[in-house]
Amino acid sequence: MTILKVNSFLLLIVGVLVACASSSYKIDIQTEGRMQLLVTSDRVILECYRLTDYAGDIKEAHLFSMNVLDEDKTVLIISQGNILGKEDCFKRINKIGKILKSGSKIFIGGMGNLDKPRETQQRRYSFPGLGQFPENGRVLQFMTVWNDKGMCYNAFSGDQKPCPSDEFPIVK
Amino acid sequence: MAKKERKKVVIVREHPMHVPVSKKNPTGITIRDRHPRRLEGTYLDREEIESVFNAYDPKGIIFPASKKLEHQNSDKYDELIAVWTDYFNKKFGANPPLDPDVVKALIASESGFRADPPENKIAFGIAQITTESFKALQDPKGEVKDFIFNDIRKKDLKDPNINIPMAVRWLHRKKRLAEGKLGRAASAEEIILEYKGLLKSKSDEKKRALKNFKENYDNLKGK
Repeated sequence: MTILKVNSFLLLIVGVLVACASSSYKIDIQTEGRMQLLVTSDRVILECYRLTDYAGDIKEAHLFSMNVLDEDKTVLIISQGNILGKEDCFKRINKIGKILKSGSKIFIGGMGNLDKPRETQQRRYSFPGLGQFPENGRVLQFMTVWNDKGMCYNAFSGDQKPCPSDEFPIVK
Repeated sequence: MAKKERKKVVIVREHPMHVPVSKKNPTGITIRDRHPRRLEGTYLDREEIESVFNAYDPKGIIFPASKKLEHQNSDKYDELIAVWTDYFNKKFGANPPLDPDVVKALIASESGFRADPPENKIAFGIAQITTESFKALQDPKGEVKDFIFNDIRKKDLKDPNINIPMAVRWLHRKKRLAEGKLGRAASAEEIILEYKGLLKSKSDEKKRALKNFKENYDNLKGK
């Protein structure tokens, strides 16, 4: 029994170490105004945020964002610029979720830059296995996400080929 | 003395009209029933949009800032934005006038300058005009009845030459509404909040919804 407990403890330690070692975030390549991130999927949370104070004409208005844990353990928001209906928003979560699940390398293309100093916000996000971290006040406009298995999703044209296209990938 | 309102619609009496020759109309002439007609200068249709743009004198009009955004095609529609912003500023005597950078930053955040982004099923074209806004923009009894669009089909919204003037007209409506609610001139951000249906929001939702627009607008302003 004692051996079993020790083994379970060791397995937990190894698991945590592997998770820590494999979790990564880096700016893959950037130009002024365009950022290409390379991350592991455990650092990405997909969110459809329901607008409760909304007075426009879209039924069940939502904002879509990918919330990414950066190298400083703060959360960068990569958001879609336009307001979406519930169905359109959750379709993104479903499709991008599959890209995150099946790829070991996740590339995210966003417009904007990350030069602004981080300003810690009250809002915190919970990343399973990594902890809770605050939003950092930085934002990119979501454009494209793709993985090393060739799966891709564009904010405006979905998974239509070619993808990634136009602004991404940034050519080195 | 009450201000006399200028007539925008007249009733046209029943009259003969030339049509293509067909089995139904072998003479090529039919009788058109009595119908209302909007007076010139109170609406735009596809032909009028094209002729206004082509004949517009670009002298002295303000263009949006160029080479400031990294989106593909970000400067491609500058002339359309400049002409239609100027056209409606003059048409409505807007004071302060609508800033063409507001229009450009809105387009950047809504569609990334894609003429026909197919992924969003409830909004259309480069400025992502919703079905309800599209209807209101053509409703002769609706909220923009003082100046409407006429005979525009939904598929026309894929064309930035049509979509941009409609979006600018709608922004003018939202600007006016925002000014009415605030009791003063509205800032660029307040106009867009009204456009997005969040001006009166008391939560941090307005901040979240405005992030992309603000980023693009600040870039255009060199901030």
